[in-house]
Amino acid sequence: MRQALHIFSKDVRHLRIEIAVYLLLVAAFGWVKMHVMNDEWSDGLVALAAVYIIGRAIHADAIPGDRQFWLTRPYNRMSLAGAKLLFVYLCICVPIGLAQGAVLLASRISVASSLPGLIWSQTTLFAFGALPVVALAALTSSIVPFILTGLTLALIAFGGGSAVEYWFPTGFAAIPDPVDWVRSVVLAAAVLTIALMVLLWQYRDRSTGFSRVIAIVNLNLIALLFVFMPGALPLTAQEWLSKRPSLASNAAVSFKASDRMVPLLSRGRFPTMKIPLMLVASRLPRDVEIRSDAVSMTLEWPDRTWRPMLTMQGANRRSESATAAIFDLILSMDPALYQRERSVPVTIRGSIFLTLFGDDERRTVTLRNGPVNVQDGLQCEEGPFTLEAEALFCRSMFRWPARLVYAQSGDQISDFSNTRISYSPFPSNMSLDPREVRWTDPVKTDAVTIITKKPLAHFRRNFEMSGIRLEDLENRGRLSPPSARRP
Amino acid sequence: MIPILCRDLSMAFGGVRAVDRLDLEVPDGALYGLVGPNGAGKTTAIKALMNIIRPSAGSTEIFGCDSRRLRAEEFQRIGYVSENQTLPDWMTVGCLMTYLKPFYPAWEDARAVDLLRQFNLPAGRRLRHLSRGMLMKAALASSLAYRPRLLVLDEPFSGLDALVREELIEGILESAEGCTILVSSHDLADIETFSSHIGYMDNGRLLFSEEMASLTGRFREVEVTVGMPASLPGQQGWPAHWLGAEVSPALVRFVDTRFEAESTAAEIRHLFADVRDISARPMPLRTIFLALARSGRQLPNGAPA
Repeated sequence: MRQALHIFSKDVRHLRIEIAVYLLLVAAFGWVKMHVMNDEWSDGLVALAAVYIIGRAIHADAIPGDRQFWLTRPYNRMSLAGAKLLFVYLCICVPIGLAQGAVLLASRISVASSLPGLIWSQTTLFAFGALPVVALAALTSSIVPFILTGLTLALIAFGGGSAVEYWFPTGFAAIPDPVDWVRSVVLAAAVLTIALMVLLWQYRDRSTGFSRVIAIVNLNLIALLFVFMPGALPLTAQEWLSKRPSLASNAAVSFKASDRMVPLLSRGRFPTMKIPLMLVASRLPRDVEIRSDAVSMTLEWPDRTWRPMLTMQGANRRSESATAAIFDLILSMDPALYQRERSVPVTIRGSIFLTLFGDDERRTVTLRNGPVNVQDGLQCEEGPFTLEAEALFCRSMFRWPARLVYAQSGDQISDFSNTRISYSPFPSNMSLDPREVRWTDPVKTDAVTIITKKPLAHFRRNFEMSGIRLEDLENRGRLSPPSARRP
Repeated sequence: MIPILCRDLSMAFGGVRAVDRLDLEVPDGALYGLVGPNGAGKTTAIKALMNIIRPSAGSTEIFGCDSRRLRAEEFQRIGYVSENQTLPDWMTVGCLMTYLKPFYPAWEDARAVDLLRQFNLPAGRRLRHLSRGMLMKAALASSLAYRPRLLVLDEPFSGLDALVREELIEGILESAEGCTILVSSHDLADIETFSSHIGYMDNGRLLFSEEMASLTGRFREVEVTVGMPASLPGQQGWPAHWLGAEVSPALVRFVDTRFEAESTAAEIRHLFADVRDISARPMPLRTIFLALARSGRQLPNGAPA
């Protein structure tokens, strides 16, 4: 431990100017987060500076190479690793945590409700943000190859991501926002595992060649996992994490032709046949809200199977007291395929993942006198910006709560981008910016009721219908009653 | 315990064998000079010895400890100075000494101060502002302040002027008591003045290794004056340990690698009929290696290199 502290203090002395500049940047970052709503550049700047200083600190006693003076000095390798990690934590992560804490205090949002977020944010910053950078630095001998490798990885990640999104649009976008945290957790855990393995091998054995091979192979596997992770996996994981799964035990889902629209040929550069459908969820508990997280479907003709692209149309049709909800969706299809197969009997199979929300919390506040703290760590205020002066803003520290959030004023109810909420159980996002701000349509701010609803049950229902023809969907209500079954 | 022991050490980079089945033993208390031309494999062997690089095959030991398992405790007794080493150049000389002190339980402050004074090193100057010679002296001073039991110097004199070289040699010799020293150099003149043992490497192999006194004792430049030129026989029958023979009408000159006054004289008289005079001059190390090199890099006993 003494040796680790000794090496740590050497690194601090060595990089004192860089650290001072970094601290100034972090202070500026904190100031910007307190005073500017829409800002991203300060996050990027702080991240780049942090990466640079981590690289410099690790390369002060670089692992690869055969010329470093420390190799033939009585360094305890684990003390060296400890010194570097201590440096990264104290000089890189803690200042960001302090800046985030300052933003939290300045915002006057409840500290008690945000403290777990601050602690978790520090944990994720160190484990999933800093450690992979440390591992990359431990695989390179100096700052130039480190930066070049980092840039290459960033290019591959962004360029490759865009390419994959282009070539595999359905595969890439298959994971819905609310459960995308599962993919993030799996990937973060995989990256952390690789980083820890690399650090162990490098600092214990200096096996640079071996570590590089392992890192490259595993990063490729992670990239494949990221791109091709089946959408059902995080949805199923979320189902396991249901707090009250019994709420959905009686729920059933059936499939129908739309009672509102008929198939329509959308002309344009890429003509598409749009076929409207309905999924009806029935036997739902009262006083809960239901939302669809994802729906998938396959159309099976005798000679082919086809997975169409589906688009959910708005929120479901349901009154709170009713026990059924209708989800409208559009099935997009190549017109030629439609014409060819419209009269051929087809079996349609599919699944829908649903979430029930409830346990409402309501708080009525007046927002004319400035920001007001409401439930679930939210702070709301009348539009603080000239351009959005009429809108209602709510902010939350470290993450937007895993709740549906509404603002009710008289008869008017507005939501805060509820389709983009995340069911993640963790108290913070993987982001340097401690604030998440959302706004809603203009409401009367003299008396606004903020309503939040918790996700109570996540469940999946499969549906299947055999022997129908697509042409049947052209006439509303001609479909025979569907069959529904539990998964 | 043997301070340095290499057995069958091989090191290959791509298809090139930098070190080829090297067997090396440096006895306790020796001041061992490892010499050889540039690219002979000296630095590679030393790096393997110090666990800086992993050998492809074979084993190396320092004080009985496998080099690949050298830990901080072992390095507390070892000093290593290399022309290739990168020091933390942002530190001042004094800062380097202060930084290294806690790593060595045997560090002596007074000795560190003496070394800085002896090497005329300015404590407040940054390493990046030091000349090459000063840097080597700083590295040496930081390796002598804890009186290591083993000092490994890899080409410490390379590119230094005569004065600095003398200062370094003085520093090394002052530390020699109770310490085993391995010095590698491609310049024989640096080594021969103070080495107790000598090893010669070329093409990754150790061609010979022995005590300096024994080496210089058995190499002689021999001149034989003969009365009757016609009596000179062909060189085919000459002993293999006679190298670089030059024959003129009345004079034969060669290097004897196994010189012993009586037996050499007997061999000469046996081969030449009318020997008038035999003179044998001791040879400096440089001349010995030149003779070896010119004779096709043959081992003194005649085995091919």
